[in-house]
Amino acid sequence: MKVKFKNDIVTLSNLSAVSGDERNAATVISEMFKGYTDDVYISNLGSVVAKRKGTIDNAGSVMIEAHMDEIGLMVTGIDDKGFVKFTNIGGIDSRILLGSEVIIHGREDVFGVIGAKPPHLMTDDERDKAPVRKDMFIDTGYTKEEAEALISIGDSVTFLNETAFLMNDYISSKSLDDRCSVAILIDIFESLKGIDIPYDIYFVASTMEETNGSGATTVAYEINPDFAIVIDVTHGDTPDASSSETYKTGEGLCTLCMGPNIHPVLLSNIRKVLDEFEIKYEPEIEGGNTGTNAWGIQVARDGIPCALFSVPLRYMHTPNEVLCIKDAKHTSYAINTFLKSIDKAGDALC
Amino acid sequence: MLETLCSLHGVSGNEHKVRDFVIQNISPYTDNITVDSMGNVIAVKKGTNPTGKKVMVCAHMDEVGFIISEICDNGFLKFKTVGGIDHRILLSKKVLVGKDNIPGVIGVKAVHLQSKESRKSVIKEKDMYIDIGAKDKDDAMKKVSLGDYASFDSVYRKLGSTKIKAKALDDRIGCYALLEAIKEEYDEDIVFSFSVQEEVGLRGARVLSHREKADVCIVLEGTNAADVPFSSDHTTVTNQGEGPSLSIMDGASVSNKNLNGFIMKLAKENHIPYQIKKSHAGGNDAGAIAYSASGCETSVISLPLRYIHSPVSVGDVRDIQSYLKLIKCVLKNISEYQPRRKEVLK
Repeated sequence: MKVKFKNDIVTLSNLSAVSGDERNAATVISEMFKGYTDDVYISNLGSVVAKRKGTIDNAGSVMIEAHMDEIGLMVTGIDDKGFVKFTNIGGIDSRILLGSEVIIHGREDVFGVIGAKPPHLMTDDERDKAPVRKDMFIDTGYTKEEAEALISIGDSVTFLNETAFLMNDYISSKSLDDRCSVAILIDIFESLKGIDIPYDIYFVASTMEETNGSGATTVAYEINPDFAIVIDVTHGDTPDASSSETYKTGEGLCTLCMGPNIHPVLLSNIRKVLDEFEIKYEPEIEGGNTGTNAWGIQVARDGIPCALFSVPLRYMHTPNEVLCIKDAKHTSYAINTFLKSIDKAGDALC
Repeated sequence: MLETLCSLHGVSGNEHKVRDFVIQNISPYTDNITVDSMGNVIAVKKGTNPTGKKVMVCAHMDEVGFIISEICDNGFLKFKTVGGIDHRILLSKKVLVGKDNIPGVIGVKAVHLQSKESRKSVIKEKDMYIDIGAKDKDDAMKKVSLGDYASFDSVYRKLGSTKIKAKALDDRIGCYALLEAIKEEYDEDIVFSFSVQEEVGLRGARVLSHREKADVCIVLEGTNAADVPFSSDHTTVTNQGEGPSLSIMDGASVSNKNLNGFIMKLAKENHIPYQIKKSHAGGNDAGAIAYSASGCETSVISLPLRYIHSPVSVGDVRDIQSYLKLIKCVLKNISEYQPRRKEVLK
């Protein structure tokens, strides 16, 4: 089971789905859901929705959501020598781009490396400053004519993925934000096999979280669940960040968010269940926007109560994000335990 | 073979994997192979009609990389760079640590946690770290020891229709050329030398050239190709697709004018494209060899490489072909070349 979960994370993080260009990933993810239910569809804005029918009519419904899109780049031009100019989609620290390997999703996938103004042409002042995007380009090795035959302005660009397996079940990969949570959706589906759950559960892999969250909010509108559980990533512990802004990794923990984005009664019921089953979590306190789809879903339609679980992730929004499989597995376990503990979806809100 | 050479890890001071590969691949062509105290490999291939002039070719086996300088209590590794690496390319790159190639990532906290001001600054080597997933110091020490070397983790790949991308093309390309060249027969005895520690100050070449005392040496290198945006015609150093470059001078040596002339003449006669390197920055083993003992006539033939000293250096296959052709052509004809001898003036 854990091997499957790990393989799913690797498979999913290898998919290419920059915000707004998730179609190919959506096809793969739909197929993965079809292993569990026949009721799978792709929404107007491209999100994958898989319905698990409850055993009792009128027991309500729950939406569990993770986003399938990833941060990336977009082609803005090709210069006279064939070098490709780009902009970013989603938040990226420009300092990590230099020397990175990428795939341009043109008429075919084109491999490239990111270069910048050569050091010997820089002033001392420039050398002391972080490289900025406008001074960078993608080198595909193609001439202008060759490049133009394969690449167009607007093509999305992902980091080349080469998953590495570190010590203690840590893995490094691109787009673990938030494909690890899509793997959690599948793992929860798997863990509910053969178990009677009275209410309907909608598993949603949404589009465009990294840009405007429209994938999740429109699906929430359509499904109109009694409440939603959002799964995303949060910042994992690293030596260059303070412990007050990061969460422990490697100890089989997840975070449970608290604050205005989170429905207080839903939260309190989740905490009761987690405490009862002695499932550990770290509280994550957010005074406002959680920076996740919970923020948009909460105010969809007449308002949808939200809870937010997060997997601690190091180096978020880089080509080599790092997480511990144990933490992701624990997140899955915490959520499925809660889901199994309620009879009617509405019970979670009283 | 070039792919295998680039995949081997051989940071300066830790070249044994490259050395083993080199020895294995030259053994069928000569049994006169020496490994000296530094770890340089010197292989002499007997000529069919030697004139007694001592001809050497040299490429370096080492590459830029890292050495582990501290294993922290939290299990992260601190490192120092070995050889010249632009620190700005290090963030979020994958590395392989130690003899067991333990995978790691050079981490940096997420953009969300960086202040606007800090995003503009260059993170210094001393503030960087490698994450191998260890729980703590003891856990990390099961896999890594102080002084272990680490290399970029970068796979050899095709790029576009004529180029390739790999780590360590500087100077596995030179090693590759020597391994190809040693297969041929030459009139002259040729000393094929594979040096260590070029990237930390031409140290292997200093020792081997002192011992060999060659009359003529051709150094095979990789050099900067800045034929990229933001560069103008005269600042590209070299251009890819225009053939290997010949150096006039660099920060470490001045090439021998007669020898350069001989090489250019051969290149022209044999229709092998070449270019003159348009910069005098940097340095390579020629700096040690040219001035060793009583002096050695030295030229440098280099393959133009974009993003040299990074995990993604890029070479052009057309240039590689010309590079191989040129070095073989020079060695085939070197018996015609007369190095200048010491003249006693009356």
